[in-house]
Amino acid sequence: MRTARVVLSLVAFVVGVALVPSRVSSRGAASLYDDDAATQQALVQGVATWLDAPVDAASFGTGSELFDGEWVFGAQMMATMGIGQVALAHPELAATYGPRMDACIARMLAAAGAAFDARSWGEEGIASLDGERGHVAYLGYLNLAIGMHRLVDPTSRHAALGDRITRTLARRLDASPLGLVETYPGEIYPVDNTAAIASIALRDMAVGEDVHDATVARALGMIRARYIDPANGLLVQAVEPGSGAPRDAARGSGTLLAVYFVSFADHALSRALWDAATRELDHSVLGFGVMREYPAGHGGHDGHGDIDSGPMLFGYGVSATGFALAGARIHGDAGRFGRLYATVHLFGAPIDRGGARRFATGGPLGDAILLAMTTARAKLPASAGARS
Amino acid sequence: MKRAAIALLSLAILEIVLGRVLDAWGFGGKLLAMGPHTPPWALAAGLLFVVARVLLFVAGPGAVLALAVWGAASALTRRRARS
Repeated sequence: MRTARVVLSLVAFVVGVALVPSRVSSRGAASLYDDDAATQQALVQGVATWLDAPVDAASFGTGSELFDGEWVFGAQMMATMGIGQVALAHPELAATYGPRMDACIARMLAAAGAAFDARSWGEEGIASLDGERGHVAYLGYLNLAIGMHRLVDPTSRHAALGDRITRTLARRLDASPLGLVETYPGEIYPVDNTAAIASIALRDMAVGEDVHDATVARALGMIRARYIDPANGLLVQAVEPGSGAPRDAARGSGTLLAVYFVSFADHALSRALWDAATRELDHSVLGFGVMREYPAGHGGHDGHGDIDSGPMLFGYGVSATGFALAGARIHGDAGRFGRLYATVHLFGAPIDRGGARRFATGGPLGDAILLAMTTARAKLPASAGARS
Repeated sequence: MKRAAIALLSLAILEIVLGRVLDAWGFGGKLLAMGPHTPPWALAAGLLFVVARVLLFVAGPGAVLALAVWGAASALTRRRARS
C-alpha cells in the first residue's frame, strides 16, 4: 500500500511540474499580447521609476566603462521605443508619453548618454555628422528613438536633428562597399546597422516621404546577401571591417534584435530572420520558451555568454529569449509569446508596486528592453503630421 | 507533510523578501551584466533568488499536488484500517 502511495504521489508531482508552472507564469501574457492598456501602462510606470532617478554607469558594473556607458544609453533608447509603442497603441496617452520620450532622447544626447561613443571615436557622434566616420550604433539607435518620437509627436523638437542624422547615415551606408558602417573604429556589427537602416525607414514613415527607399533597399539587400549565414539563416554577429568576412558566428541575440529593428523597414526580411530563429534556436522546457544563443551543433561556443548574450544556461541566452518576445508579437505568434513570457516571468521576477511593474532581475536596461519587446508592433501608423 | 508545507512556506517568504530587497538595491542591472566587476553579493544573492523561484514556481506546484495525493491516500488507508 505504501508503494502505491509513493508511486501515486510521484505521478502527481510530475503532472504538477509538467502542467502547472508554465501556465501560472504565463498569466498576463495574453493581456500584454492584446495591447491591454493597464498592463502596458504598468510596465511604462516601472521603467519610469528608473528614469526618474538618474541611470548612470554605477547602475550596471559590467566591468567595462564602454559597456556601462552603452547601457546608460541603451536603457533610454529602449525606454523611448517602448513608451512610444504604448502611445501608438493607445493614442490617448500620446500627450502624456510624448514628453517622457522627449526626456529620454535628451538624456541620450547629454554627455553621459553620448560618452561611450565619443570616448571610442575621440569625437561626439553629433559633432561628426558632416564627416564620414562610423558612429553607426550611437546615431542609429538615437535616430530610431527620434523617429518613434516623431510618430507620437509630429512636433518633436528633435525632428531637425533626426533629419540631419538620417542624411548622414544614408550617406555613410551608400558610400560603404560593405553596405555596413562601423560601430567603433575597427568594429562592425550588422545588428547595429539594421538599427540605423530601420531609423532611416522610420524617419521617412514619420514624415510621409520615400526619399531614402533606394538606400534602405540597397543596405538591406547587402544584409540579406552577405551577412546572413546560409547554413542557418541567422544574422552574423560581427564582421571584419576590410573584407566583411564573419568575425563572429551567426547568433541568437543579434538575429532576434534584428527581427525587431528590420520590422520597421522590411517586414519580409524580418519574417525570414524570425523563421530562421524559431527553426534553429527555439526550445520549450516544461512549457517555458527559451532561445539558444548559438544554433544547435555549433560546437565550442556555448560557454557562459558575453556582453551580447547576457548570462547563459545550458546554451539558452537571456538576451535572445527576451528579444524574441518582439518577434513573436510582430509576426503574430501568440503561443510562442506566452511561452517566452512564462520564462521572463519566472526568471525576471516581476514586482508590482503602486501601479508599476518592475522585474527584480531586470534593472534599468532589462526593464526598458522588456517594455520595448513586449509592446513591439506589427504595423506602425504613419505620423499624424506626415505628408501624404 | 507538515514539514514539507513549512519548507514551501519558508521558501515563499524568502522569495518575496529577497525579491524586494534585491530590487531596492538595483541588483538587476548588475546581474544582467555578469561582468568581472559584478559584486560577489549580487552573484550569490542572484543565484539564491533564482533557485528559490525555480523551487517555488516549478517544483512547488508538483510538490503541493504530491502532498495532497499522499495525504488523501494516507487518510483512505487509515479509514480502511479502522473499518
